Amino acid sequence: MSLKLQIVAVIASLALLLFIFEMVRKKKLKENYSLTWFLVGAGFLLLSLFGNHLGGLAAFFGFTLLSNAIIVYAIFLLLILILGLSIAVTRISNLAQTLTQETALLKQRLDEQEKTDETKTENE
Amino acid sequence: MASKKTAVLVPCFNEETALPELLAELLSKFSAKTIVVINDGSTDSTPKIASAHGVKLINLPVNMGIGVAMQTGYRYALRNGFDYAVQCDGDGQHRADEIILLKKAMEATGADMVVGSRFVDKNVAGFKSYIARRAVIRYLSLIINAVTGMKIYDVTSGFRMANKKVIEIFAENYPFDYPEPEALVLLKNYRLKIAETPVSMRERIGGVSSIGFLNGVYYIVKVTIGLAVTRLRGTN
Repeated sequence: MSLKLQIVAVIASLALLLFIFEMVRKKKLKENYSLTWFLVGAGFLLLSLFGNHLGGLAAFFGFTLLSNAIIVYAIFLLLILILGLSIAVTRISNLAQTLTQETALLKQRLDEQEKTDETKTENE
Repeated sequence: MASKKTAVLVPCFNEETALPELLAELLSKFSAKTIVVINDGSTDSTPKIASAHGVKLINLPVNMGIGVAMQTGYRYALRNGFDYAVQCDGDGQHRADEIILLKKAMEATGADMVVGSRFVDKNVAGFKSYIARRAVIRYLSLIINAVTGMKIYDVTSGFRMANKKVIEIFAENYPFDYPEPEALVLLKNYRLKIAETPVSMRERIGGVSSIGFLNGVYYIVKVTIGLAVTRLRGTN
């Protein structure tokens, strides 16, 4: 990794961390989801700082190029993150389902109640 | 059975074409108080038609799919003390005058749920669905037989009658997308008895099937996974 690339990578990693922090501060990202992304940002930062000394990371599984190793690891990590999101979406859609059903049932009861109230008033 | 209350659950998504006739037929057999239209976020005049007929109307604020709509109906049935629930599609393919057949089969077999079937009796006339769809139904029927040991032919039929035990289970737990085959396996997990009785369905009057041609593959894969997982999940 050239020095130029290294400087850009460090700045980009710091920017990512700052962005995640800002999102959490503005409540646009929940703390529990931010944790993963802080880890990802920290990982980027470590890679950009010490990337040149991580040959062992590749050699361990027999990768000839560090870049190949990093790409494979990154894809694996991303797949896990996406799976986590699918699980989160499932939970949210279950919540939405229950809420929708309960709203509809409540509304039906309310309408019914109003109808009986009206008839009563008319009769008085 | 006479003193027991039966709810007719009619899930509807944009069924303005078929609904008036269906409701008129249902009203000739059942009291308006027991007919429950579950409007699954329709954008047409479905809710207006239901109101105009004086039947019970539950409006889901957004379109959630047939499974969620159906379960809303079961929750309604449970909370309003119904002893039986009949599922009757809003598209007019199920006949109000054949609900009595489900009821009779339930009395005769003592089953917890009765499925109105297009395939049990080859002599019953009426619409029997397209070849591709029949092949899929046959396949699903085989899978259900493999995982539960029970023989049900028309596993995708949405024309069903359920007793209170089933109402309680479905109010808590009902499959979402394309729920009919999975619902059968779910009941089997609770060791409930399911019977099948011949009915003669019509080709849908209005609306479109929930299963388009392109969704076919997704449907088969999703339901196959669903059947296996439902069986493994047991009763929790």
